[in-house]
Amino acid sequence: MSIKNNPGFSIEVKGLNWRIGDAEILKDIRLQLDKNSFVGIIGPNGSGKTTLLRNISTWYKPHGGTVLIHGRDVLSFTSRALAHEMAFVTQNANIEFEFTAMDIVLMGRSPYIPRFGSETKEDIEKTEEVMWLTNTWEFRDRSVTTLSAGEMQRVMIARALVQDTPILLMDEPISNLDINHQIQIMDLIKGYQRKRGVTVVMVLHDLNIAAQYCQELVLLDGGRIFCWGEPESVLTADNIRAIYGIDVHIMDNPLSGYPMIIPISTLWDHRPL
Amino acid sequence: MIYIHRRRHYRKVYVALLISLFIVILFSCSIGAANLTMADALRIILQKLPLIGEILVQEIPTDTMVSIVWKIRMPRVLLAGVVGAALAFSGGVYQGLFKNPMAESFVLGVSAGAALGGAISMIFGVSRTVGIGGTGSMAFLGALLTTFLVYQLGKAGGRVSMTSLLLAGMAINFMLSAAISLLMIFNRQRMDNIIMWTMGSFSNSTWEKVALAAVTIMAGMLVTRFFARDLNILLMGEEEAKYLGIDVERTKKILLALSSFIAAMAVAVSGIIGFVGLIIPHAIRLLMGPDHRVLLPYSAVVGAIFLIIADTLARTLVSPMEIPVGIITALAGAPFFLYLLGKKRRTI
Repeated sequence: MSIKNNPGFSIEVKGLNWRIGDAEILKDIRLQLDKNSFVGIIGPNGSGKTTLLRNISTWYKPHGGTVLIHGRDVLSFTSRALAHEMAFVTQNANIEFEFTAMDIVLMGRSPYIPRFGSETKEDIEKTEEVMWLTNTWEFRDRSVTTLSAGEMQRVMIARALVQDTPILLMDEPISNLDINHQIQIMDLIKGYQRKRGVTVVMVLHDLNIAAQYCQELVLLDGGRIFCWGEPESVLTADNIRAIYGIDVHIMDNPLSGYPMIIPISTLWDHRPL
Repeated sequence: MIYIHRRRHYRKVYVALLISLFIVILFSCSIGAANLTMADALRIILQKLPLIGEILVQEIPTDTMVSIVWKIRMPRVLLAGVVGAALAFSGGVYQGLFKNPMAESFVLGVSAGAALGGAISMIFGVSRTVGIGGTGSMAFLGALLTTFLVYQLGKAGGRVSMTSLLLAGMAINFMLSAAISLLMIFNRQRMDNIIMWTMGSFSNSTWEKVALAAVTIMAGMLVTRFFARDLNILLMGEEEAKYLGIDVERTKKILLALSSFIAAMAVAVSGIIGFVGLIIPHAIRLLMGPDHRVLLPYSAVVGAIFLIIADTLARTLVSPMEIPVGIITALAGAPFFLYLLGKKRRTI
């Protein structure tokens, strides 16, 4: 993994444009994300969050501009080489086949297994370790078709973690989960990110979760970066009014000190805050 | 049923299946108009083994018995076995690739493409001048062209939709079958030979066909086996597969070419036999799970057993008449197809 030690940014996006037909979905996106950072991408529906991740992951090819990881154009990697550099937890992965949880997690080792080889002891040990870490070991031999949404999401995260990549992309990993699972998964990812020094780029809907866990936030609006920086500077009442069109009250979270956003209902406007 | 923890178990069951296959071969060699015992069949086969054959077999069977088993029944039984293995194996690959339990060389029109290629090669004398290898090549060409045609037609707006793929396959299947029928009408003198392509049959089995089919089909299956893990990952969806390091477009093309090759070689020696590739992999998936490292080799052996039994029924049920083996497999397969069609789309 010589690339891990390269100087420069983990991910650099240079003037990225992407469109469907005539509709411009991403316009002139410029980003520099440091190694070992935890970056949240936020913005309203249709602002281009997932499209941005998919341009980084090469599922979509940019119509203009480039994406570099560790200083090298992502499009110059083979699929296999790229799978050593970044793992992607996609949204609503649904598997209709009766593979066991462990079979699925082991697939994360696939980029390391040669065509004529099979899983080595090391692959299996790594998988076991990650499955303990993600609390998926207990249902390792259950079919994934029988898992709950929270369990399934942990399996998909485990699969991304065994890929052992310096970059993790995640598309709304906690939407549709109960609050306990949301915190559990965010803690898990944050803990892993700190311990292993990986770069996490995550699309999030929940602004409060984003404020609590991310070092940097990228606020997208209509395919452009509206602003980008620390949560305190991005999540201001003015920005949120401009983008989401609602009034919010922002206070410091009494436990963590990070910004906490309280939406103001129009029904409350007669009440003093 | 975590694959890596059950490797030994899977191997044991596989050996048991291979033994069953051998017994089925012996059994099928022994029954027919001249009834022999399985022991006779075994003796005749053992006797043919080089070097040790004469030591193993003391009692020499009569010459007629030898020629019935070795010249008539064995090639037929083995050819049915190899073709059954090829159809079931390639069916397993198609189902995995298209993520659809109804995908199969027959349903997708690939068999018809191969049959048209084979029929054309026969009419234009390729088979006579180049030999059976020429028929095989033409069948492969027909299968490959059909596969890519159906695939392109099924590709609506960049992504392959399964419904449109199956519909395209059926339409192409009708078209190619019509083309074969036309060939039949314009070449009445060769009608019988051409009919063989549309209604699969093993009645003209020779050792030459067995050799061609066995070598090409086994080679194809061996190569495909090394893509079994990739096929598993493709079941996760193309985007996910890409993130797990699979070169999706390339892998799909390789697997389509390989499965078309395997199916085409089967058609080249036996004509179109439907539904084997539908029932067998599906049943194996229900019993053993979706992992292609198990599914594909198991489908091959069970497909072989299934088609040997079907063909033995075909030649013995109303003996001395013969029922085309495709009728037997269709009788078993068509209701199964309807059942799949009616079932709510769940796991394939």
